[in-house]
Amino acid sequence: MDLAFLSAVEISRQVRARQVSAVEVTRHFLDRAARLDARLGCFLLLDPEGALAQAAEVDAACARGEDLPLCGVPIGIKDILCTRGLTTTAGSRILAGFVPPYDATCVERLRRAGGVVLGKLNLDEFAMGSSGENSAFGPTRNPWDPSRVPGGSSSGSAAAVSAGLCALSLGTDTGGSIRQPAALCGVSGLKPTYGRVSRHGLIAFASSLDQAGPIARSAEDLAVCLGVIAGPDPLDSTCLPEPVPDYLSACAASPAGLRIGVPRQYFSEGLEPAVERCVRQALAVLCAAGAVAVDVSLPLTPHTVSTYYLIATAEASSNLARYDGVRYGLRAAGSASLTEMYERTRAAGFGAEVRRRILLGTYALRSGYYDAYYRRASQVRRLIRDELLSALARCDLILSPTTPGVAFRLGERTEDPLAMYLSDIYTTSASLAGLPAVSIPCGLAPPADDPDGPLLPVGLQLIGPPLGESVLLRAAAAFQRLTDWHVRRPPAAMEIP
Amino acid sequence: MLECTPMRITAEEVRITARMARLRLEEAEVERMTLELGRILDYVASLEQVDTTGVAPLDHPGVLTCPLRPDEVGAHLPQREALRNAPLVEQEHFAVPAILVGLSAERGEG
Repeated sequence: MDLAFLSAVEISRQVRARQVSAVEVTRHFLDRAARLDARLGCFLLLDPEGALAQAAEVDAACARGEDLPLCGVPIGIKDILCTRGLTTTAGSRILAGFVPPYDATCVERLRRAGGVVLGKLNLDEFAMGSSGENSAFGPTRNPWDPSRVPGGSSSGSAAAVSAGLCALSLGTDTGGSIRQPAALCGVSGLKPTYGRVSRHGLIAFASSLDQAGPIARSAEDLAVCLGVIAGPDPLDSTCLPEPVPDYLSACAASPAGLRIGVPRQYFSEGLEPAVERCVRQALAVLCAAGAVAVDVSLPLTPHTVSTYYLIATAEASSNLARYDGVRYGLRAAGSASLTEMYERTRAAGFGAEVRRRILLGTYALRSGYYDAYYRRASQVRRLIRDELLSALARCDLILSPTTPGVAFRLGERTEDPLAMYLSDIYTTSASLAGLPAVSIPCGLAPPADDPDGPLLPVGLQLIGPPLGESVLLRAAAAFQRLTDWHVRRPPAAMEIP
Repeated sequence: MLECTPMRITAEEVRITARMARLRLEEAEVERMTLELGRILDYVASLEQVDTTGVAPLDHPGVLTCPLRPDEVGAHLPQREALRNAPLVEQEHFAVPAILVGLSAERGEG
């Protein structure tokens, strides 16, 4: 039996039925990660002791007949979510040695549901990046081609699930950081509606955009995980009070009658032809199963990246002011004054991309520039949201590519921050509007600049109305019943059994 | 003839912004950031084309009201736990270099 690529739903079923113990499952994955991860760089930290102790508790709970939805499921956590007693870095040197005194709410809920936390996953520093290369602790590599990036910022979360190093992971998404790496690694990732999942214990990047969500190998696994982590939390006042529906039963519904909006601006200049072919085929598959395509128009699409980067960096410049060397993390030694200590600590602790974004955000908020940059971006944000909501009034969900191209090479875009930002063209609009969106694998294609190169995963993005996670999961699960892209395995995972 | 684009941001503006953000930048980095921020600001200038007359800014996509809860005594982080991650602790407080320049570090007497 190949445990590594079993679904979370199946692992949970087998552990509940006592066919395999949670301890055995945990050992299998820890062992696999220890052998495979040196090549991929997914984990920043493995916690064998904690994971095995937790697995033993799950086995004991099973013996008592407790019914846990994620019974013994091995889970990796993006290292921007706090884990009690387990070093949490946000991929940054400035948090060196930080050991959180509490679990993030979503982590605590996964543990309570029987999930076993294997360790902490690599990411772009403070979730700022689209390639995984901005981690202070080295890049993560794409399991489909280790010379290429896994996407970011939830780089380790997507690559680990893709390579079978865990069955499920948590990522966070501010402008596409769950969906884009899921697309480039050939796995499924869901960004919930803003406020659906508590942000308590999520180290803040941009507070009006950040959301935690699951990455998995199927829509059903996303559904089970979301059902566990979603719902109101007294520790996050922006968390939505609406009751959590049964997402798994939504997965069983037929796609017949779904109206799928196709925004013509998303299928234009900049989209690689091979990616477009895969996405159009996916639309055809859903339409053959009874869904109906509806033409929609999102004319503000060319402005979403600008709007996003002004707002996200402005919020980041404010959120990251807390890293001053006083209460936790790094402090530069030998400073004569407080100001000097701040300046030297922050210069030593933050990487280049984080410094760039703090500067851009501080500039956009400065007196004299505020109206031209931050305020104008916030106005355009309202227009972008209204435009998406009126498109969604004419359809049940919007279908698009997740990214304009497949995974690019490490180093290819590090010298050109703007080119890196532009790869977020299709994901930032849902973030700005606070809408739920999912990315699922929908094909394999060679890179545009290397037609004879390796076949790499293509992601399909579905965007839904506020709290429309069920309709997204319904369409995604239906697509996965009709196709087998989501069960394809990367070559890097095949080499070592 | 080459078209001359006005500089979106000068090196001096980058230095001022860095001071506001409490970031110490080397001169080489000021140069690089001036160039990179200039290109990014050039790109985002396209927002000037959008008609935003009379549009209220949207600062937050979600909650518009502040939820209330009963004021109840609950568990809180003990002081020792809260101080555990601090780089420097003195007498159960976070310790920092002198705040008032010119005064001794000794509790700001005088």
